[in-house]
Amino acid sequence: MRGARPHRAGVAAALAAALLLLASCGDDGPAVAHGGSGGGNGGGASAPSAAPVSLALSDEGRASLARGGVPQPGGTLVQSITVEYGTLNNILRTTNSEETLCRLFLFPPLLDIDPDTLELVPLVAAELPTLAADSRTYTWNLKPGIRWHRGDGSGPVEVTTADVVYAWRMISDPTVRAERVRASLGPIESVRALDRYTFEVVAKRPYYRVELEFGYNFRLMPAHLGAAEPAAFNDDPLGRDPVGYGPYRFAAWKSGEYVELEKNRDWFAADALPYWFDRYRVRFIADTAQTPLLFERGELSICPVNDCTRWEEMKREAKLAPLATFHEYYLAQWLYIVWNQAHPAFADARVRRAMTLLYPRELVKEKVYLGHAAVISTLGSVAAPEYDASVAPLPFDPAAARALLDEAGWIDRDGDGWRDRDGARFRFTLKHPRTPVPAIAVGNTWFQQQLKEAGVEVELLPVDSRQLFKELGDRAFDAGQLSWVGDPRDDDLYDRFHSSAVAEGANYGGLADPETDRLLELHRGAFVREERLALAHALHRRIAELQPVTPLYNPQSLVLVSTKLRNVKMRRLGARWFDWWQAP
Amino acid sequence: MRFLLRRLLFGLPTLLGITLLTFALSRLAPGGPLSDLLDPEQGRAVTKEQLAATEKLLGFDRPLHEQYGAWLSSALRFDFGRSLTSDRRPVAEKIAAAAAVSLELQGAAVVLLYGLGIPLGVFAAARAGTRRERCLAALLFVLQAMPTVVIGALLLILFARGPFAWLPLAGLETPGAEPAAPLARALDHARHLVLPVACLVLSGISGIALYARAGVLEALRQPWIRAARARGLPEWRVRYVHALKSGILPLVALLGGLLPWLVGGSVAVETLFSLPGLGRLTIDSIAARDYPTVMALTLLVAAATWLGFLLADLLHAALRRGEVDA
Repeated sequence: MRGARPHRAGVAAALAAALLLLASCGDDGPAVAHGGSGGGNGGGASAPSAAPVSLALSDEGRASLARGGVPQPGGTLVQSITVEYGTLNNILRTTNSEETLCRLFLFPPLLDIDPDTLELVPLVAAELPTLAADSRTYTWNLKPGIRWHRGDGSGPVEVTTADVVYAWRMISDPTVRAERVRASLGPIESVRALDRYTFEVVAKRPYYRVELEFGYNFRLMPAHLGAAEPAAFNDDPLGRDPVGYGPYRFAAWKSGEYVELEKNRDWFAADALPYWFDRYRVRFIADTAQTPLLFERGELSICPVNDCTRWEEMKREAKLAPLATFHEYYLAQWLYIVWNQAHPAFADARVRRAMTLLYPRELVKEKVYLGHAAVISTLGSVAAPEYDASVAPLPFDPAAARALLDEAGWIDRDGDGWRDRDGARFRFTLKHPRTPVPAIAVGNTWFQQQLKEAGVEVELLPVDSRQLFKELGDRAFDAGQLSWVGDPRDDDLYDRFHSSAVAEGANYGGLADPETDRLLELHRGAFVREERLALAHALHRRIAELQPVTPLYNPQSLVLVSTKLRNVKMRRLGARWFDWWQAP
Repeated sequence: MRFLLRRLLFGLPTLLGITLLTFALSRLAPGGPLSDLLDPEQGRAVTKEQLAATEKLLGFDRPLHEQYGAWLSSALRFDFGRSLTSDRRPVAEKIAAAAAVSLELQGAAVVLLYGLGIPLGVFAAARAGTRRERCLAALLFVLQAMPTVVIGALLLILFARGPFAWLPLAGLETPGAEPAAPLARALDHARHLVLPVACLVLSGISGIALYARAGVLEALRQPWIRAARARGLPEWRVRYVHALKSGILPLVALLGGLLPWLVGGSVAVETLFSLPGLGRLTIDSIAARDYPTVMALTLLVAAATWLGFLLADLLHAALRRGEVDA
């Protein structure tokens, strides 16, 4: 079943493009607010808005945002990431930051997601694919005239179906270290060239996401330059000297320092995505605390900030006013707690509901995130169309939680202050990643206190994230705290909540609910977007009712942008800067 | 000679034991190099069959003793394999690149640490009990108490803006600078080293200075120093030649201990100033469970430690002999 699982990070990394990611302890997650250093004054809390917000606090900032005018080609846009790229081989890449650079600038996908409307739009493909009556066979056409940045000895080389077939051959070969893309393209059965520009993709079964998965996640590599055999592909030097066909071409990789791209004058989509900057540089800055300092010195054009307290301070700092505009928006990343239904208490939906009622999410939002997060009622971004805004998150209500626990038979029978049932005390362990995220640390401590007052004993156990995934997979946990980078559109929760995903899948809690299964199956087979949205909303309501997980927060992304940049606007996919330019 | 042979014979099994222990510990640590493929939070989880195929491809399905034997056999031929991270570079190449950064950084720091720390210690010893010495001692104790990361953060804040903003905060070269003459490039490189080296020196100088002070103070109390003074030797010669020669013996032992520090890199400084040295490589490799790189780095640091102590013993013996001869 896992093999058929759609690839989410592919799409998710587009979100990450918004920020060019931070990485935390080895993980390249998108930069989002992780809360302040605790405490805080609750300032800035406001009702979440799904739309990106740009706050320009100075006259210069306002002017910068308002200034339109004539685009000015030239200049260099500089961003930073914390962990150096490992490879820029489009098939072997693994991290979100590698994905962002490859997908946006070197190897654009067949289909793009419109950053404003989230609609699928053709990019390398000439148009959206046609689907045969069997609902499995897709016919794709490539745009003619797209050229690789480096040709062969005889001149420029076009992107053709030979490259598609070559890439598919490498991806499919089990000796090629392309496990992730193989997993993401799991729903695909075969790829076959029909002519120079036309090819056919056959899915293993009808599934609405195949168009998105293949269109957005398929990875091209140059057949005329790449290793001919899979055995040599893993060590192909193109990994550190990539040749793409996107808006920028590879210029330099200074190990440990930066990667630099230069504008591709032969960019085939310049009319829609002009990319005015001559050069684009990504610096490797290991210490995220340092990036605001570099931004102040003008060494970075865009700077994500993941400390809400620091963010609020920055907004008040006079010296930053002429330098920066402030932007806040929601990406598809959220935190949640999954309840293992093999635990004697958590098999009961009333108990799971009580847990959610005891978690002081609003308080964490106000005091730790300082308002830069939304409390959610399912696994989804508040900005996504699949999120049903009419389903309100459960409130913080200890009294209601106690009533539910009583109703479920968890009562303090022996008067020791702890609830019990059938002679067993209600206690559990909450495993969470060993990260210094204040929202997790503070929120869990407050949750622990609330549980204690309600007569439930919890042990908070920080676990190495590599170990946590293994224990979740082995079902060796009571409760686990996770974050998830989802898709900006058309997320598929099948692998999270379908009963068939218990044995091998991400349904860690073991939810087995026929109604949920039915909705998920219908959702997978719905090729009409409106139908899917209706099913997604129904599923949202069902999940909110059953509470197999306690959805916590959808944090905001907080980004500083230099006032030297013009036409700056945040989109639903974040900081996509293809139409920004630098002031002369 | 016999001493040297004995040390060599003792060192080899020690190194072997260390590699065996590291191999066992790395395999016992939670998670593995392929664990992130199981991370469904990034939407990239692979099936157990796919994972098993990759494990077979990398030889992780073989018994541990076979895996260790294969590593040892390659290591004896100085072949440390390829990294398991996505760059898949040869481990030796990765380590050589990082070592160049660390050696330059730490080497400059060691020269300055000794070049400044010893005179400071002698100065403090010569003026023991005076107000100036007490001020200096207080300053050294404050520096001693401050973690490297705090000193680095303070330097970053101080030099980030204002009149001191001319020093770079990160990396070893100015990105995007036009190709320049070798001298200009060298100057740019040196400018980038100023803050990290200053951070290392400030965080380490008190130890050297306090050692030197204690050693020289002790030496100045010895009868042969009084005898030297009675012979009419100038005071500077008494302090900086006779007393220092005896007083710095503990520092020689310390110098031996610095070799692994030189080779191991400084995680804090390399992270704060975004330098791709061995310290960061070590931490990153451990986090990624990059077994081949972790094994090679451990072997390197273990060998450097062993060599450092050997050198310290030899130097110590040579200085002792010189002292007796004198």
